[in-house]
Amino acid sequence: MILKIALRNTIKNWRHSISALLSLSASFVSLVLFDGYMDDVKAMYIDNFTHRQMLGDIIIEHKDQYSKEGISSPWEFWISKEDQIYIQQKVTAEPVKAEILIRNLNFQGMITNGVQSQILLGRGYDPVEGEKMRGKNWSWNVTYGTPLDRQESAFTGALGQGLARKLACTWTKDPNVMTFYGGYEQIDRPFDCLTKDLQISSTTVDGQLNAIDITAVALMDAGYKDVDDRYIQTSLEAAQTLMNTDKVSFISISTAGRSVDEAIDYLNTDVFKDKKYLLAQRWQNHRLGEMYTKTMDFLSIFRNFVVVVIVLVSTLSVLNTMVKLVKERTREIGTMRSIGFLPQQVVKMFFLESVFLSVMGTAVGAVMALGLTFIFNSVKIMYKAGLLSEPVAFRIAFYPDAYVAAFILLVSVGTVATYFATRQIIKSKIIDNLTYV
Amino acid sequence: MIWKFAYRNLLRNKRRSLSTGVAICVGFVGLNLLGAYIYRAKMALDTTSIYSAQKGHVSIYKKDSIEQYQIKPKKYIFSTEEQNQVEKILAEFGPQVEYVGKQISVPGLLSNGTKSHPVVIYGFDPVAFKKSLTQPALLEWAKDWVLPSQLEDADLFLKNPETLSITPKIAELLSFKYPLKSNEAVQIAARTLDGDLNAINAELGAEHTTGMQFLEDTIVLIPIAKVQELLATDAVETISVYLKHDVSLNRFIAELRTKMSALGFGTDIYRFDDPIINAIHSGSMGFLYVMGGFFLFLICTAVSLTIINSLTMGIIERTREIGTLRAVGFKSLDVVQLFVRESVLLSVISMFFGVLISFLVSSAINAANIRFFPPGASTMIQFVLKWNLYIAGFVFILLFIIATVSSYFVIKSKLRTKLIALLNDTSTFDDDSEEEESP
Amino acid sequence: MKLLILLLVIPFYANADLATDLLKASDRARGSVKDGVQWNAVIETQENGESSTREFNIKAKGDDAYVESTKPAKNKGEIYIFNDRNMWFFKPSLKKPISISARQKLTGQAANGDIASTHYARDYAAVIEKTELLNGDKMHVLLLTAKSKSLTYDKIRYWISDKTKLAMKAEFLTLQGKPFKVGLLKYGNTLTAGGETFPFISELVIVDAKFGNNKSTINYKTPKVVQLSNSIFNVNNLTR
Repeated sequence: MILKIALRNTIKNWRHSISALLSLSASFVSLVLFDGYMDDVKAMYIDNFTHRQMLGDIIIEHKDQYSKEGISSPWEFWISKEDQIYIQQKVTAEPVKAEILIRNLNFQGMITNGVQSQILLGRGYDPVEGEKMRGKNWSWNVTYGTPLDRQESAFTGALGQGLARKLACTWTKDPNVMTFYGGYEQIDRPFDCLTKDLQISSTTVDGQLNAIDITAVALMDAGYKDVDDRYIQTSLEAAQTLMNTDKVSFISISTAGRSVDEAIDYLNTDVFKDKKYLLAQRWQNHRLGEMYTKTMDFLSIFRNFVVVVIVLVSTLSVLNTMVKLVKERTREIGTMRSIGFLPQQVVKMFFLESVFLSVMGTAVGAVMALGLTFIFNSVKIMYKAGLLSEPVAFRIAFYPDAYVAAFILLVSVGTVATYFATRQIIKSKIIDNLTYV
Repeated sequence: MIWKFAYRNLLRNKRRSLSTGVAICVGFVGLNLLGAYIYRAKMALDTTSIYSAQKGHVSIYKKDSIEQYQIKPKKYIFSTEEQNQVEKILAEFGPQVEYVGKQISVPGLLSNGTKSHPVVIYGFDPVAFKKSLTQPALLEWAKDWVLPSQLEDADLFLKNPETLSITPKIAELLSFKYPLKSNEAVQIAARTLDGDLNAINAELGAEHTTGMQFLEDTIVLIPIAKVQELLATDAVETISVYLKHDVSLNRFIAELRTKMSALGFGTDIYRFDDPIINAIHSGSMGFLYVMGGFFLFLICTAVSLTIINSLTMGIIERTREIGTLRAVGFKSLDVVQLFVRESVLLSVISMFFGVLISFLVSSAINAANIRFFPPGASTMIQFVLKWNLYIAGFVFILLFIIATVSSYFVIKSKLRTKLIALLNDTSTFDDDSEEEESP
Repeated sequence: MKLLILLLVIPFYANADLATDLLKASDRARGSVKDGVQWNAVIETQENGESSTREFNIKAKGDDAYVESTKPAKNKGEIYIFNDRNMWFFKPSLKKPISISARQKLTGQAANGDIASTHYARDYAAVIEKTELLNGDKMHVLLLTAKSKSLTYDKIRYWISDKTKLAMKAEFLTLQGKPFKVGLLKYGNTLTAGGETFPFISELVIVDAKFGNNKSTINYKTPKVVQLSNSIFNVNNLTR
């Protein structure tokens, strides 16, 4: 019955609470939209690391790859041929049953077109497996030219656009290279270079300078500007030839539909029992995924900041409204109490009213948020973000979880406000309430 | 007299005034702190771009050098003669220019005898670098980007022009021992501007940081004469101009452009934060401005809704009072003024507290020395909020306008009712602030 | 089936032997001499409309070579040392030599590996593709494939005269087998070693396969057999 009274009251007094309602809706919209933006950034990063950068679900490498020794002599910490075979056997079998396994070799060196030399940061990988790991959206992972997996020769490379520019490559910029929802269209867009025959040189494992000749077949976006200025992807074969080794720096695998954590646990405890120097981990925990965690942390700081400010402001707004509601109906409260309502019941009524207010705020907010989400996503805004070399799509993801969370938050805001507004009722006497003018 | 009324009215409903005031105050503090963060980020980026990255306030390049230097380096550099001509023009600006630096860069291999690592070698002007390093602005805004060892001996590169400055990351990559001076000399190999292989010796002994995660393994610094030796040239790639603090940058650039156009060779002139030469600066600030703008919008909306809410309630409650005021001869405009002044008074008082609170909060946060890892940075940096009078003033004016405008419109729309209707209104109870004091 | 494979393999074996013999003979005329030998090389380069000249003094013995730049003045004193397949660059102002690769450009079209003696018989696996006439002479056309990854070229198509056993033409191929540089050789010098007098290379013209105007000519002058101490090839002796 109290529910009914509360409902009627809310409807009756809707004019008075309209701005409180609006401020709740505004809070709801801002919470949900910002969360939606963060969720989209998160999804974009995950898609980028897992697919586009072909890190899959699990990275296997020597655990000291990034220790002091590992940094100064990385080749000592690469995975030997023998271990590669062992890992391949184990992860493709039950229970991990990895679908795709990519061997990778990182290298650094110089690249020259015969006129100018540039420094370079390279990654060699298995092109065919790489294409599989990238999936449908990123199968075509180059902006101009054709991807490595479609080349006959292993001695081909995809250059970061920044590096390509320094090596006198030119192309007509196509603003529609990237589709708004991530991934590239499979179009061979032309590019030109002073010469596409390039030479890469690097210090090999035995301290000698070695060089290989490769042909530039594609341009790509390496993500971060400072990386893009010196990035190249080649086949694993080319990278191993350059470094004069049959080792690899890390192996990335994807375990479709299986629990990644269980697989990692199994690999580290059982498979690598006698090879304790090997370590399996998610890219999220790996140095390669550092940018992801840092960006998400950074965004969370902003999000928490805005949540605190907005929630405080709207709590105060709701508080104002509730105080007013309580005061307006002081005599009504007296009447209710004199016919036998307990103070708790009266308070409960107000609580319910505030819940209704939150529900309505959420309803209005949800409609507005959905509308704005739709508008933002259809306008297709691209923006320049920090260190990224290419503009990113401004999108807002829709996750019902965020809506539920925001609703719960608003209900708590209402509850807190009601608590402060109704403290008086419980304390006061019936007669005071009745004679209140 | 209206001010007095307004003040009394605020006191009549203390609780509501308080909560509205607190809401304004919270919004004010929030915007202020956000502004303080963005301001700090901008100043840190500005000073590191100008002084640490040695771009100066203004960088002068040969025309089209940005695209062409990598391809035809010989054509896109300033010969000694051209440098003199540019310097002559700069001299005409007299005291506006504090000092001038020259740079040239080349990619090459840094080798410790057993291992080599690809780097970009930045040749800098040691005299200008010394002046840059000792700029108070650099230490004030960007001390996280200056290594303590860099300040120990600013004359290092003047005393020993063979000194190479590396980053801690490169020291790790090439397993150099500390102190760096104890290591043997290193070699740097690169191609000369003619395309021939060349190499120079360099001595370790200095360190710097780029502040950027992805550049930290790349950039080494050495006095320009050594890079010119490596490239077999006297030429420079850029000339950077460091201005006095009170010089108007855009006007300087405009004047410089005019004077430079008289030269026999084309030049490009860039501001230190031009996206063409400083993508990091514009990228980072662009992102922060978008964030800031978004929050500004959200917070302002929330604050104005709160003000509207509390005013609407006040007006509904005081309908009869308004009627009375009008009946005793107050003009409609006077009534509007009364309410507007109420909210103006309230917002001024709350923002006054806001100023205090935001100042205290930012001081407390700075004193706590919280360190965080911004994405893309090479090291942890201190979380600093630079409280600033201009930002406080800006936010103050902004919220003031919002408060005034929103209350004006609320009252205007409510006061269209006829006098008689106002007097007869019984739909609401008269507010009575005395009720607050009841047990 | 087995027989078929056998039939296919046998002629190749025979071919491979002949190919190696041809290579050994041609290498000798390009500086691969057991005793010490020295000569001067003048490299004239035309590239993108600009021309330049560089001069070197080369001392070679077995697998090692010591190359000193003599002109122009700015490059004087620069030293390239070849130890087997490893290469170093050094100049008097340096405290330590630096490692370089045979593939890297020396000047113009000439790679570092082109300047010293060639050891194709040692470094490459050879098969005879065909015989054809070049300027009226019968030529064996060999396809050389690098045995190791650190060599100057991955693949070479090599024209060796049937009569003189001298290499007359070389196409330097990319891994895909596409020529990117073409070399033409002349033998106007003679050298006497081990009691035998034989022709010695006098000119190698290397032309860019794509841009014919970009070319480098290496002129080999005054070759002679000399006694060379092994110590000059020791890279550690450079830093005195």
